[in-house]
Amino acid sequence: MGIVDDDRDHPTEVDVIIVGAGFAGLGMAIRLARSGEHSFLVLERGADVGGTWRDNTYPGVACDVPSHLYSFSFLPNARWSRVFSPGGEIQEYLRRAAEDEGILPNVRLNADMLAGTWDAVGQRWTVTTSGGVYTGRYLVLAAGHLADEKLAQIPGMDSFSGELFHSARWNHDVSLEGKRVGVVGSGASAIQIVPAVAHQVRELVVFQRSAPWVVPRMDGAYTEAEKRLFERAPETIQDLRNDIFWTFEQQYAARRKIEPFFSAIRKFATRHLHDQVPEGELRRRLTPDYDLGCKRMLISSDYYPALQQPHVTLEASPLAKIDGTTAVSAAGNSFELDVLVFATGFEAAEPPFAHHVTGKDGRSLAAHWAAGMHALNSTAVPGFPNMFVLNGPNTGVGHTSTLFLIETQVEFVLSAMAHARAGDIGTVEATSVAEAGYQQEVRDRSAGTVWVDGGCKNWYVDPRSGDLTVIWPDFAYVFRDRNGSFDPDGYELVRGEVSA
Amino acid sequence: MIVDLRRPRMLSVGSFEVGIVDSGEDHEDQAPILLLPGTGGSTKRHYGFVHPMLSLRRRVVGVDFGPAPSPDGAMSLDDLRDQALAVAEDVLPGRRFLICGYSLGAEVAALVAAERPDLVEGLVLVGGWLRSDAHQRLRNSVWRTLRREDSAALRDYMTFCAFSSAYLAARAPEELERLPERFVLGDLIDQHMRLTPTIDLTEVVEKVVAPTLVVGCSLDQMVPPRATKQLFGAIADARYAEVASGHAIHTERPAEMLRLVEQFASEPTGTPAGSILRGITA
Repeated sequence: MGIVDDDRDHPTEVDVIIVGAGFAGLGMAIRLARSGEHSFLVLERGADVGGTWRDNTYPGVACDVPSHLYSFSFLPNARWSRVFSPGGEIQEYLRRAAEDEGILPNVRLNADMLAGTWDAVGQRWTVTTSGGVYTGRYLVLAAGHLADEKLAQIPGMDSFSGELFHSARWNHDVSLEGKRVGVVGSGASAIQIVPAVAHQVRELVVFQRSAPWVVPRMDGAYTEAEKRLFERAPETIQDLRNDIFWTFEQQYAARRKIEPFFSAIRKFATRHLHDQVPEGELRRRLTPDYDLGCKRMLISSDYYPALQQPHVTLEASPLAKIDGTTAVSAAGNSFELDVLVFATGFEAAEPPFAHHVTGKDGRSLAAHWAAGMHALNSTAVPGFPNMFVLNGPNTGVGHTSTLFLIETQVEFVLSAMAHARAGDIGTVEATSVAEAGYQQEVRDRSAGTVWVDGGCKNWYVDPRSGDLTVIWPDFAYVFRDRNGSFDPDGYELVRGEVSA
Repeated sequence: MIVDLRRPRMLSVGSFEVGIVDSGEDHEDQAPILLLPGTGGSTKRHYGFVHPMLSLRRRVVGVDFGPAPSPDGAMSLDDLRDQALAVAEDVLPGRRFLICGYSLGAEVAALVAAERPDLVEGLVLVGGWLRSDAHQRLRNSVWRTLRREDSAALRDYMTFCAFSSAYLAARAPEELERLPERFVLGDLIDQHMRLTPTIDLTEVVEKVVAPTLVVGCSLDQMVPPRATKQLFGAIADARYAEVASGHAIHTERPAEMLRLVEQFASEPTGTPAGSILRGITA
């Protein structure tokens, strides 16, 4: 392409800068390109596209949403191998999507956003990255919830003489064969890792802070006949997507603690535990003490059996300190370990990227979000004109595919840009009043749900405010009906020069 | 906080004992919704999902039609209308309301709307039909024969009719086994089944002036969308939506049914008459 991006005095100018090349960033890019807008760049700090699916390569990694729903509606894939496809296949899907849609020339890899600043005079965003400087009329932040690993600081961590890494930064150079391995955490990653590595390790210890609710994984491989049908009659893919979507939507009633749905899902999960784990100490340790859904409900049919192998220990206590090769739980039990895997999740509620973005009054997005993330339509932030956040505040879901919300946001951003173009609008900015109203609306919607009223400590609630800031606390369809297209009401629109 | 504001009680209407399931908070600026179940059904059976979810945000009143006192007693659409109106008068005196009917309940709801434009602010007809035709009468007659013969096949036949083939094909074996057991056989369904083949709303619905949402079930073998769409044509201020479901939409696609009812209730004239509403493309 011959593009030189590293001249600070002559930054690369485009209409739209997208930060992040995961599902959200690539989805935005593809929809922009398909709408005829080609003046955009995707800035990606990693060495490849794919986001969380590039980062998470741990043994057993797979999505816990069926692949036919967990993919772009505008890029159906007839060839998914299984109901729940492995992570590598999802990464391959994303990479191929970027290639097939001709997005890769617009992607700058190894370009970590160091600063994103609104230039009020030029009415543009300037984004300084480790790989160059860029300016754009619009800034779309698509960094996601599952991007920055949360690595809890454990006393004595530096003294650990074995191998230690986070599940999203799996060290494939380390062989687990015959090793004593500790897994810290019992969430979505841990319950995939444990069954996948149990057979090769000498000893396995799982440090569990709280027991997850687990339901059976109704997985299965698609036959060649089924894949060919999807290819030959693509409407069958959409029918399947709709079917999965509406079936999952029913689960929201349980998250809202509506009977008999709330009790039914708890009974279903309890029966799974009882079917797989005999009465006794282990079952007691695996019995959750909070409402189902308060933390992510997990799906696995091989986690409980893996825990019952003689060389596997479920330590129902968090990791408290490390001393050389000894890992000690809060309960005071010591384990000699060669490898420690931190399956401790991600910084979802306090995204690090917010520290690097500065709005029109010189305040950082992190300062604006000091009491927790919030945004009008879950997308636009007052004081940050022409900026949109994808998969940011209140866009996570516990009962369906988060891509449904991401796609909704992508269409929202496209319609906001189209609105500006049609009306010679230079800047689009959420008003504080409208944003506060939306925040209250989200609070009202979250009242009575398991996420705020489920008797657990989860990563969806911001500890600083007690507000639910990560999850969209209603049906996914309500998100689409509410936020599916740009409504100028609640926004300050300023006329301005519109670049071609 | 677990929301369960259901307040069930009974009301005598002539010789009928009618059940009332009243729930949700009333807001002055929001019309309450009256829910009418279908053939042999109840609020719980036909609005098991929609009713509690709707009542999170508004006042909702379910009408559980009672059987005629003598088992052979004839029942007319007027009897059902009287029960619905008596409940409305008792629970919502002087109030205008939205009325949502499912299946046979849709026929009753349309009749209420036609005769009481002063009370009905909006009308939702789910899986309803304009007039019973040859297809409807044939199914009805098979049902009544099986019922008269106390056939072991009756429940399977009802299962076969109520659910879409896609829904049945996707069930786990133990779930499939339970489906036929859910039907309640008794005087109420017998009386309803004698009534349904005689229904003809052709002239009645000409009088409906309330904004109306007609919901068809595209995989319905009992009341095919062809029959439901005739209501869309017959009612002046009607809009139409279709859901990929069998007749048992309350079981197959309850969340989608909720979306349609709630969206229409929040703004009955939000779309112009004659509109075909687009569903969600997941």
